[in-house]
Amino acid sequence: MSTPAAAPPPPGTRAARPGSTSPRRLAVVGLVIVAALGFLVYKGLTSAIVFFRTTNQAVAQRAQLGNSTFQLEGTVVQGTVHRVGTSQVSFDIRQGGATIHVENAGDPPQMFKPGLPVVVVGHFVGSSDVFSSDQIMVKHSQQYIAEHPNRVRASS
Amino acid sequence: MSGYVEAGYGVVLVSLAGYALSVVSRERKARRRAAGPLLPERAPGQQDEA
Amino acid sequence: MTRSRILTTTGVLALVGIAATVWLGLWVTPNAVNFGDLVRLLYIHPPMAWVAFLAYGMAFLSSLGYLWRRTRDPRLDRLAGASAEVGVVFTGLTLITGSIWGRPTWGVWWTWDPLLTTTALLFVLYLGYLALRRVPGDPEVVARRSAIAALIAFVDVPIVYFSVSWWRSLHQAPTVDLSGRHLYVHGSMAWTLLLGFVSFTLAYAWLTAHRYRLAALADREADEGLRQALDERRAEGEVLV
Repeated sequence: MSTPAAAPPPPGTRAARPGSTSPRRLAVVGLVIVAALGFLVYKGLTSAIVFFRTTNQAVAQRAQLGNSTFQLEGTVVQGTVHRVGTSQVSFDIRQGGATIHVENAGDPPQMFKPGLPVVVVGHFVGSSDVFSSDQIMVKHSQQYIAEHPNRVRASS
Repeated sequence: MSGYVEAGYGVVLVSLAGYALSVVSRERKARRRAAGPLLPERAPGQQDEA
Repeated sequence: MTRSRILTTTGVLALVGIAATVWLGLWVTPNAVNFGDLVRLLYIHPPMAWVAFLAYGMAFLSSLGYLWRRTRDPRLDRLAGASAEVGVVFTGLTLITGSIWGRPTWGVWWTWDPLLTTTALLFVLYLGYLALRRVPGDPEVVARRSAIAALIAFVDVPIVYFSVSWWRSLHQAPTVDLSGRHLYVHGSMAWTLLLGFVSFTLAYAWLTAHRYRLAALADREADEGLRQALDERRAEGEVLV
């Protein structure tokens, strides 16, 4: 890579760059970029900072949450996953000692399985403690473990 | 395979190749213009003191 | 070795390395528990993000160098611009490969998770930087204002990296820990990931060097054009006098 050396360049008139674009186009581009920045900062402050509530928090804040929509995190409990009808699934999630029953409309993603943490998007139903969701996002760790490790190490 | 994997690799390879080709061809064109009537002739492949 | 020989060698190594990464990534490495073959996106997605960070780091340092004690070296300005442009390409690829990976694993193409949101912000910030570089004006003024913008935009880079630990996120922690003490993959998967990092870094170096050369040629062309125009004007003046 050509890294600049220490010697200063010869002085001279440097003309405006040929890459310079017309002012009107730049104004449009600038406006779009500023709007996008504003939107992203807004999203960051409203959605990203508190991306989800944990199960125990949701249980503790049950009264304040009412029927508002929010994202809820918890680990899918073994043996609670049931398919209801054609594209509905129900299961329990647990975290910090609290459990919430979730009924999800729609098929769960490919990686969904008991034992993995999920973030569900939805709301409590009526005054019950049942959580009705329409989206499941599966959290996974940064650990990637090879399937069939025995095949690599012939004898184990 | 799922199709997602192939799509991911495809996007990366095609985009990088496209960007590389665009940069190199623009560089070549600029060099040809620079060697043209505007500037004094320079030996081919001569390095820029850049 | 001449500069140009080094650059060509870098390009060839990058090409061979990327080809090997693709071969290992798609055919040699094993499937992973829970992921199945989706783990194969591991060998390209984190390297894209790393190169983007590296490119913005280089733009940050060159811009700092440009402003430092009035160096005002146009080569540093050019390097910052070249590096940031390559960075934007890699940030775009980070977002796209992440989205392609997110759909089958998380279940969504996109979500307003802190890491994703700050990465999108990074993309737009540097697009803005590149647009700012094209605002016409006295070259030194343009270079100075671009350098200041590069310093400001870089603030988002550590925010992106640490967002996973600062806020609740859907995205997992980085696979390669910043301290280098924790690597969460093993065996052929780890080697392939490492090769991916090295190859795409070489590709970054090659791309940035060529983009830099292009900028240098364009600058000189503009200088010559101006000089010629001035000469012509002067000649006209002499004729009149």
